[in-house]
Amino acid sequence: MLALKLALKSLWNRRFASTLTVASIALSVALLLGVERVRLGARAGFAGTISQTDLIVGARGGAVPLLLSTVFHIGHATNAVPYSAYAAIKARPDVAWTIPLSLGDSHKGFRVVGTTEDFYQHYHYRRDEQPRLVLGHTPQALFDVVIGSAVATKLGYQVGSALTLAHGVAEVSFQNHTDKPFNVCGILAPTGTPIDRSLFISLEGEEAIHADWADGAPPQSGHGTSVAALIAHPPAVDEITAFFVGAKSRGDTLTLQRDINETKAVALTAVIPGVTLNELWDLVAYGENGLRLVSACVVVVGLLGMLVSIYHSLSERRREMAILRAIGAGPRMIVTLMVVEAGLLTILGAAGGLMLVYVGLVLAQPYVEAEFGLLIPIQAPASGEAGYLSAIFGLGLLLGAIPAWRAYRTTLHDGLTMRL
Amino acid sequence: MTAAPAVAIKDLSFAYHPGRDVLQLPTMVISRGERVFLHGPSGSGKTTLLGLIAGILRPQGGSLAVLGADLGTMSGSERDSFRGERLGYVFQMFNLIPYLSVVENITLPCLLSAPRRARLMQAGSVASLELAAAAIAERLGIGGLLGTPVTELSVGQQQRVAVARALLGAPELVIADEPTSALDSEHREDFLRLLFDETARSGATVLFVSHDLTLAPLFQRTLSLRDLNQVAAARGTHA
Repeated sequence: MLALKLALKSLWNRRFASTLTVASIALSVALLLGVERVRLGARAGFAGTISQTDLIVGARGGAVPLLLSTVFHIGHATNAVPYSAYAAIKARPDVAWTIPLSLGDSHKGFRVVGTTEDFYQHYHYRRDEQPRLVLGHTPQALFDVVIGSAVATKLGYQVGSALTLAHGVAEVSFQNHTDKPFNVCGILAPTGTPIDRSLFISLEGEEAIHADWADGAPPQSGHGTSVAALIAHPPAVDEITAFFVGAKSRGDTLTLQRDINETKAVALTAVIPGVTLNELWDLVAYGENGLRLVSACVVVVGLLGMLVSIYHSLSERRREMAILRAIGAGPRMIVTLMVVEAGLLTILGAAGGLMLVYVGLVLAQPYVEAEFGLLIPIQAPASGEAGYLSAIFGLGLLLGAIPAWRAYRTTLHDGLTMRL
Repeated sequence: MTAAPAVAIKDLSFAYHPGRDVLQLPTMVISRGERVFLHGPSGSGKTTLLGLIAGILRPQGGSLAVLGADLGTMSGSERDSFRGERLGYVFQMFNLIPYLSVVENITLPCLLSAPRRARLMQAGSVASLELAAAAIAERLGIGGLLGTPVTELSVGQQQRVAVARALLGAPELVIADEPTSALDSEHREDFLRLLFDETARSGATVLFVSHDLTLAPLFQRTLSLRDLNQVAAARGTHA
């Protein structure tokens, strides 16, 4: 207790240096914890983007690209699924629902998704949240489009706005479907998922904008079917990009997946989202570990700064040590004093770091969510973080032992001699 | 036990490096309650002798008994406890812990040593350590400075605080290592009078070390370390 009191007073006496030391530890701890928060937030956000969907089915290909292109709108699928194959699976008795997806177009960098009413009824994210319209209605007419919240705010669209879609998913497209303008019929509530950054049209609408296309090229102007004719006779949907499947029961999922993957007639791939997400984590774990390693190094540097600061203070404090020795403090007391000082600096630094993380979260959370669609929850420190903090504390004490050892040696050598 | 002298030395020797003794003291005895002036010019082994008596250094040859305790047979931490409990020590200058207030400096030895604190609480009619510190500070004329940061004190005030700290808890032996060298002659005598008054109250023995012989007449007895220490005497060339 006496050592604690003396250490506190001593640190307070050198409060400028102590504050700098605490601040550098706090910053490094905040970085480590912040990286961890972002990592976990990103994982939770990613995992929460799709819920209750048992299978994602697309043309034969890699599982991760299929998941990325359909759920996260990253990259794109090259092959299509014949509508007949989709209809056959949809009709199976063990299938509860399906959501067809037709991808490949965009609008000013935002992806366009062709789908059906099934999307609004069956798509779930974050366990049991569903996309919800704040304004308007789902696409009823051929050229109706529902837009995500970010699309609405970024581009300033309202219900009734007209817009043209672009072929392909690049930010700048050279092929615009200018001949077939769409009409905003509804706006979705923010979801914190890629839905916010997407536009939703009907499957027929997706088909209609590509009507008369041959070999991936549009018809010459003036030669295509007129918009009026398309509305009068909507084209039949003959292929889609992928579809989500909800099984009647969880137990059916594996059978269903095997059946789809083994279908000889059409080459399809069915993946379980959760399983594929885990594959994805394995992939990104390298990057995450690298990031963690760097922030751990920063913490070590912060603590080394403390070591330097305490070590440096020793030469000015030899007189103090001699006085303490003269009034009966043993070398053990001197060592305790040093280690307690290091412990106090580390605890204050760690607490400051934790506080910085929370202040940072409160300040940055809305921005990060709006800008990156990443919701980092503000919650009590997790057990993993407690582990980090105790490791940091332990390391701080360990490093404190180094100046303590030197002080011990110095006191034994100096005794009562005042070396100034 | 009370009959044992404050300091009893017989054939004491000490070397920092083997074979190069800096101190060889055939005999030196200081009785209880005595006020002794130890004349020790630099190079006479003064620092070493004080380190030995205070229990910082471990005697290597001969015997050293302080207040009846044989320091030669005690471990380092036993000697630390012994010093904290039964000795008072005043340095030449810079006696105070800079980050503690006056009262915190005065009470620190009693906080470090439980027996010293217990003895203080038993002996006096004091209610608390702080009150005891206030009382002694009052007698030393620094009663109004208890809450002051020590960095704001004059040298003379600092030395009085050092005396208050050395004397609180009634140590039986007070060692003062050139405590007046930073004071002018007028303050020197004031300081000594206060020191003597306080030690007379508790009956403590005073071992006062200085190279300045002008103060020697104020003491009961004067010892010359240069004469006592065989090593210094043999070197004999010190002016």
